[in-house]
Amino acid sequence: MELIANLGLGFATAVSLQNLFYAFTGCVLGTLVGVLPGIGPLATISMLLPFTFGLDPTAALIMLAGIYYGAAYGGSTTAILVNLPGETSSAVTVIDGYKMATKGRAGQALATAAIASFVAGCVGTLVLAATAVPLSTIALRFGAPDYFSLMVLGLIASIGLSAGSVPKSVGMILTGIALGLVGIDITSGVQRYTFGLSGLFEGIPFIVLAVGLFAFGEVILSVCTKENTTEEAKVVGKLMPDREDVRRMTPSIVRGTLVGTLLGILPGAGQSLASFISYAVEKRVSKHSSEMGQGAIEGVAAPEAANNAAAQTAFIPTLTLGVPGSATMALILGAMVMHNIQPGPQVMTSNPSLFWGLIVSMWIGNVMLVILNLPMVRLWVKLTRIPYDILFPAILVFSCFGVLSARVMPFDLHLAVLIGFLGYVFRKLACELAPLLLGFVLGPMLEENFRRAMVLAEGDATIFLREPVSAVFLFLAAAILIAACLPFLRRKREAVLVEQD
Amino acid sequence: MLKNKDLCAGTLFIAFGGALLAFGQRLPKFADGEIGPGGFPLIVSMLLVLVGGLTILSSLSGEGETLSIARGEVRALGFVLAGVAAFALLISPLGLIPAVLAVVGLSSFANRGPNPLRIALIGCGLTAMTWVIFVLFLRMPLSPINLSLFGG
Repeated sequence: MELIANLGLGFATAVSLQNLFYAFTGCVLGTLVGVLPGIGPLATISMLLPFTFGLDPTAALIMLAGIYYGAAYGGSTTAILVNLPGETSSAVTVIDGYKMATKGRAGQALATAAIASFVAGCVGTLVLAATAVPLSTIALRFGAPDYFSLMVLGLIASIGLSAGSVPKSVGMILTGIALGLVGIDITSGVQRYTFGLSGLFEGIPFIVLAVGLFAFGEVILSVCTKENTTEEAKVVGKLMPDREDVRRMTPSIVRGTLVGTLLGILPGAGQSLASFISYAVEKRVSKHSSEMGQGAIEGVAAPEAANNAAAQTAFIPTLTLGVPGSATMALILGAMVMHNIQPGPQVMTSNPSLFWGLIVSMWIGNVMLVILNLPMVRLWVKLTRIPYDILFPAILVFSCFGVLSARVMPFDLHLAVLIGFLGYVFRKLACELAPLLLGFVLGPMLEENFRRAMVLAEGDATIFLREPVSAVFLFLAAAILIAACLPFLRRKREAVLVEQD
Repeated sequence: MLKNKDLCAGTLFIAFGGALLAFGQRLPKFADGEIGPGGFPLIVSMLLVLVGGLTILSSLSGEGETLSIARGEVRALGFVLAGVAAFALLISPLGLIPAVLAVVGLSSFANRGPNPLRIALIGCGLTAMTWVIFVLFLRMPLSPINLSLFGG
């Protein structure tokens, strides 16, 4: 019954007027920006991150979590209304959601997405709360070598499920780690790769990297491909699904939630895979599988449930182990570090009200999104029609202020320009940016644990193989790496991941 | 040949690894059982060179995609980044209004056929919005316009 006590503490924290306000603001802002076509969740979170700077860590994380699922929710709204998936995870919702919208059932499609997300979000949050204590209890017993190997495993697992070539993804991880080396070394106080620039003493600021890579990068690539014309308006129609709809969507929601909950926990697998697989499951199992692709309600309910369940359980490795599974989770982790919270299993014990408050506020956020979104659907429809020539200067200006607000140093903006350029080059070379971000966030912790382990072992590097837990992690990492390189599996993996794009 | 994406990426990784190695030369690496500040960067740089080499090798199989740059893309890249750089240069000496107008103005050239009146309206709207949000609400220490440079 420890769980109930913990959740009680969480409720006490989350239901304070201040934290409710920040959860609400986060949800609204996240949805508002997430709905805008052409702005994915990574760019949304990068752009809105600065709004959490001035808050205390608990409020900041609560607001950030609100932004996170607000953005996800906004993404599916855009997918259904405009046939434009803002993120890979809503790429599947587009298929049947947009078909429903063209048939004049946009309202019901949106309501189905909201209900499915809500149910799945509740289950995901409960699973997160239930697994958090046992997982971090185990993780607290990890020594430095175990930690090092766990992070290696997390990084390798993230490429096992990305679409790009294996050596390129590993190269991007290493590039991220290299960027994370910049700044004063905490152990020795020696400056590394700062070139004497005082702006680099504390390292490359996280927000600079995030905005440079994602916000600027998206604008550069979209501005010359997007038309400035307004998107066609959709008739929203009736909102509430009828009895027949509810009967049809219920089993799909259950199946989607199950798939999403399981896949979300895996590092790297994340939401896009969850929604893709749940769609495939529906196609096999559903009684209405012949309608799939023609505007079947199952095709909206299942992937949306899977997507949202995975969005919740993705927090499990991030919060309990300090190892983020996806680029979005790396952003959340980076934000924690910015607020001086060292991620890892100790967060729960050293900062219980923050930890449980965050979890409960996730559930509250889900409630708010349902209440907020259904009546506001007509406003979101209007927002999806903002032409891109108004949108992109706004993204740029807000990003500039975002970078500036961290330290009020114009130097950071010049750095962001440089990183924006680098991000463009990487995109052109088909190098994925998510591994880079993961490497950047995990790099400093990786080095710290590596050095600590080496001190413990008096310079003997075999310690990583002699410690049983560490050896198992490294073995798994090697297995994933080898499997990802095998030509047969590679083709299969590409087929799966290309299809969902 | 140079248009192969994997070949370029591999070369880039080797260049990064080389730079890491070159600029980290003077950092102490290993000293009596401890890893110095240069130890971990040394490992990362060597791995980068290795992975870069592997990427290049994989490109030789001939499967790699060729690099293609759409028309107007370089233009978009240049004007978007120039806009941000202009903002960075103008924000402290001249203030918020000129800086915001500079980003909006410069970046509008990234788009095909900018419409001057529309750009001006967008610029004014964004100036007002950012002033309210960032200076009034978030209390960033920025002045709207700084005329002291012109003796004002």
